Amino acid sequence: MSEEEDEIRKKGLKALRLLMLDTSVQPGLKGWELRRRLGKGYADALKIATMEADRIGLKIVTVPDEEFPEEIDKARYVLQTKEPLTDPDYGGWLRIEEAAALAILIIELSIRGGVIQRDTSEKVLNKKLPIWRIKQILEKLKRLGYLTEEGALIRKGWRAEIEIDEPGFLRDLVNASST
Amino acid sequence: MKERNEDVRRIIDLPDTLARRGGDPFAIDVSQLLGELKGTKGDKTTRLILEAEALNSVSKVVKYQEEWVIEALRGIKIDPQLIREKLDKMQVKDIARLLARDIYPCMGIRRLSGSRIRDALDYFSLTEPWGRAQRMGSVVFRNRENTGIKIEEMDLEKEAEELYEKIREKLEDGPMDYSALIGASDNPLLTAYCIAQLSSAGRIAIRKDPLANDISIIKALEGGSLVSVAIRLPKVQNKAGRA
Repeated sequence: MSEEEDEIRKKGLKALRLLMLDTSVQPGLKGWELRRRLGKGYADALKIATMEADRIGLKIVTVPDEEFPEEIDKARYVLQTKEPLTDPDYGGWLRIEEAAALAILIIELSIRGGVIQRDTSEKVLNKKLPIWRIKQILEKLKRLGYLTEEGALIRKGWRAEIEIDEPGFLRDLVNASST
Repeated sequence: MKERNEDVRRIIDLPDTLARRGGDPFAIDVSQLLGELKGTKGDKTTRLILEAEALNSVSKVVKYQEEWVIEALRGIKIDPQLIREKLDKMQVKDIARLLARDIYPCMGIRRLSGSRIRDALDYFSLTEPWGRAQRMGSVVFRNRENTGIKIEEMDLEKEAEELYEKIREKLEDGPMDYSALIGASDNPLLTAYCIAQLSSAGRIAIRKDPLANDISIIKALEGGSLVSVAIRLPKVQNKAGRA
């Protein structure tokens, strides 16, 4: 292995380590953050990191910036599992009722074309949860990137887009027994 | 021999043909394709290459089939009322469990301070693996320089036994509130440790209500599957008035 190859491989592994560390409430790092830590060649380092991640059942997902989707420096890069959880153990960042609230909102957003009024979402969730808890949950889901709120309108956030297999979830819901 | 290998090449081209012409990928009989692969001829290298390429193509066909099902499902109009009624009838935990099948979470090591990691290492170095120790025995005297934690030697088995004698009769009447028991103790950490040991030894059991986040101590369970739970010690004022 040449010195150059060795250098890129080291950078790739460093990129992987950086992506594993939580530096903020939302997972992953922006392109400009990776550039600051890895230098200009961070795109090549990400390719190596992608191959290394694949070996341990993970993948690196690029989430384009909403305003500047073409700019790789503004995109977010996150590590994601290649397999679903299969068990409601949300690793500590979502409690059971928070996951259920997210599931219900994903369905409602799907039915309503992607947008729901804040008041309506609270009414829908109130069938299952007390209103004080709903307010906490909505704030947490927004903070984690699962939902966004503009004015009084709630939409899916970037994290719900990449983490949830919506057609699969709808299919499982239709097939689920109601007991 | 030539005809057989041409059949295999046709299999290799199948995904491109499907992508170009479209159509129902289920019209292709994958089992039959796999059967055809067995008859390739030629030298060993040629056979291996042809078979590998053909297998790769068959796997692409299977992937097309999966994608085709999802697309077909997308086209199906599902009555929103039906979906909502279904959700209404389901319990919160079942809805969460359903989502877990279709969620691919982002990964990351949760933020932990270095000092908390050292505390955890110290704690685990002092304890036997959960459920493996036949007897609780005594805590080994250690003084960890890096954290300053000092644990005096004491007979934990005796402490746990005394606690068990205290709560045994009360448990016959029903569950006991974990926080209340810890709060009433002169030494909350020791009481929590004894509860954990008694629970690991199967003398008592811990029940956690995930919705209300209430933790209760109950009588030992017979059968069923048991799981370990991490319990954060509540901030309590003990009898000595310390937080």
